[in-house]
Amino acid sequence: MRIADKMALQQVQSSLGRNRLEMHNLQEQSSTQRRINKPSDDPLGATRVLGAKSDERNQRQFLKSIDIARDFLSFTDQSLSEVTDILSRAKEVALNQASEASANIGTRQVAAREVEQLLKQTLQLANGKAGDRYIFGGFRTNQAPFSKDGTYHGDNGEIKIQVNKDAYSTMNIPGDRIFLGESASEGTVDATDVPRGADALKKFKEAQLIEEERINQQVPLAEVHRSDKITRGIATVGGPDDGQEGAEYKKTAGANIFEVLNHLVISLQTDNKKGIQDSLEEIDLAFNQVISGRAQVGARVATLNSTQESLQKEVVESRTRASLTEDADVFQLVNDIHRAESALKASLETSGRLIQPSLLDFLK
Amino acid sequence: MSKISLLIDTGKRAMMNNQTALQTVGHNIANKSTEGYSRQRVELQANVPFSVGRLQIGTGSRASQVTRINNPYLEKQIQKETSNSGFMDARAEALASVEQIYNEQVNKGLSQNMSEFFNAFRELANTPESIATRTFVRDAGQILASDFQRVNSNLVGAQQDLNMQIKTHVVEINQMVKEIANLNEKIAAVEMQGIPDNDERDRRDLLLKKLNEKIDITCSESDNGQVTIVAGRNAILVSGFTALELDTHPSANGDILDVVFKTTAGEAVPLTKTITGGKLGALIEVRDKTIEEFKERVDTLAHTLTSEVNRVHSQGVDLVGRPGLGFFEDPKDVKGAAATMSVNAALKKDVNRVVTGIKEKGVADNTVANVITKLQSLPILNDGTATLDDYYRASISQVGVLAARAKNESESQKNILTQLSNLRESISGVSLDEEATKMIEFQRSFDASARIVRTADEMFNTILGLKPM
Repeated sequence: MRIADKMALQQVQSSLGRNRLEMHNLQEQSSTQRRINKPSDDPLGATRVLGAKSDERNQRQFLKSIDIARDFLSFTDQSLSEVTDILSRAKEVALNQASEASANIGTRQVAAREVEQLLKQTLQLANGKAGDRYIFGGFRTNQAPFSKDGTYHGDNGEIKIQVNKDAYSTMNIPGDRIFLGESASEGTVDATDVPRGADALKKFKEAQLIEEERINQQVPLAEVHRSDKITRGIATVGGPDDGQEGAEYKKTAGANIFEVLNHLVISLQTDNKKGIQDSLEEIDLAFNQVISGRAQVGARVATLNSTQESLQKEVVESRTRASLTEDADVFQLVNDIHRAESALKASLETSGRLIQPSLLDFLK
Repeated sequence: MSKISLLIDTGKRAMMNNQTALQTVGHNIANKSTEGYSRQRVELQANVPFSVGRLQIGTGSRASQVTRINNPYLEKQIQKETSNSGFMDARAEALASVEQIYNEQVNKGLSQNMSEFFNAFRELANTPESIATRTFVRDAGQILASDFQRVNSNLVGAQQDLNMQIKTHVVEINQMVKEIANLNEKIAAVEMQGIPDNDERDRRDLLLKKLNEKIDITCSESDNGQVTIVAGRNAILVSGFTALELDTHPSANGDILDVVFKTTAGEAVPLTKTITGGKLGALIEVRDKTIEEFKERVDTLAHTLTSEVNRVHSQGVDLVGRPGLGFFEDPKDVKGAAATMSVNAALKKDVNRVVTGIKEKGVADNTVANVITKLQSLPILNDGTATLDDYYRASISQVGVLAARAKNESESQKNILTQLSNLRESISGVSLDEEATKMIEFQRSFDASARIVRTADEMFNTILGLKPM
């Protein structure tokens, strides 16, 4: 083949260009320490990295949410534990004052004042706040859920928090369940999920309306139930003064703690031994009610803890996944750079020799 | 019998021939680096001999023609591959800049902003009562909206950039076309006399190659050596000595420049869709197809996101019990959804308008916030097969694959072209060694020819010096 001068030069040009380009790419990788610097470096890898990074961001958010939910639940647990203490004390008082042997009218008056204090404390606990939020108000965390007479102003809202990709945790217990003995309304959606999208939300809203309707229709039945309870003592709780809230309140099935304590106070004040004895039973009922609330809270915290643990692992995994895909292998890189460098040197050297001589150099 | 004067004449013409050959050697050396130059050679031919009796006496040589060493089929092939190479080069370059818009390896982009938007709603679900969180959510929404706008306007910017490039190429094409028509005229004039017009042909071949690089053309050479150039299907750019121009016009919707062909009658014939090769073809393809497709995808994403979030958001009640508005301004059409995306103006002014729940007075009701965050993992795109993230990531991998493939193709095309041009150089390129050899050869011949003249002169002297007897 005939070799023209331009061919040699072209050869030099293109091989030097190639070597320089390779050096440039390797240098970019080594300065960013990343194998993928733009999507075209590895299109699939780039999307995998994005996926892993967005997973990690979500997982970090879930961890934050878990902290908040757990704080809220711990505070609830703390309050409930104090309520159980109060109920124990009330039971002790009732036991002491129930028999004629250890008590008389005088001690009962004193005891009545103590129980009144306990009632006040209970009310305070029921209106407890975590930060700015009333913990027992359901969704209504911005107003005291219980008025002095024990009327519930909250609602039955359960604050759900996303704690993992497809897991939700409820972080509150509406106060009426703990303090008024309401049974939890049958949920229209799974407690571990939320409506999936706008259409599902519409259905969810409709279902809720139906549920409320159903509760309202049950009113007479609940009314009977409640009046049955009222005959036990003369204790009263706030009447159904404001429509809807009252309606929710009427379906009481368990023990109304305020009522129970109030009953005890009145029995003590009126020296009603039978009343005091009845109270013992009621206090037990209330006690169990609070304990079961605490158990629920405890179970949720336990779930949160295990979710947190697995999330912490998942964060590391997401990180690793992103890093494995996008990070440059430093040893490989250094090796490659050395290789590219010597290739470049070799090219330069041969280029120098290629360009130099021609016949003209040897003609005199 | 030959004559001494003939000998002088033969010597003289030999000197002249060698001088011509040396001149051509000089021409070759001078054009060693000229792009598109083909080395030339003086065709020497033995002169017509004359007969004297039984003798055929040679009368030296003559330079019959200066020809160029050139393989026209190879040139044709190079032109074609140059067109491919121009296409692939320009496409790779254009896609590399589109790719940067989607490069989240270094910049914060839509993927991150979307996940931050949903995480803001998660934060809101944690503390729906907080004004600070509401503000945070509103701002996250606004940041997301402006990032959608950024992607869209960057894509539009890339299109405008390509518009400018197309315009420049069209201007250059017009210049080349004019020069080719001029060359047609010159070549015809020279070759009419049966003389090959080497240098002008080289120049025309080079221009054809460069024209091919810019736009896909078909060209044919007529018997009298003139080329006709047709671009697209029927735009005759060069015919004989006349050249017609291309021009660019803003298209109907104003964003893009259409390439048109101006006929002799002054009509403007649209040509954009028929240009499929060369740099122009690549720029048009990337501008009108690839980027348009990406714009559509961003619009679809923006439209789905805003309308789905709005549908959920507007079902709830806001902090003070008013029925919920859309979180974003309601998008009108899918087209332009990204460009006009913005947080609802009413909500921008009053963060209490951010909806978290469906229960009136239930300030901690986070049902709506939860449903909105749920949207992140729901397959709401591509007929219920892709989540928002999936859909966007598909765009990224698509642009990555396109850019990577374009780059690879352009590299391998470059190799093909290098091989071809090496082949061309090995035939037509100037080799200094060779020219030096020829130089010596012709110089020696020149010396010898001069010696012949001197010898003839001496012969004359001998004759003239003969004494009369």
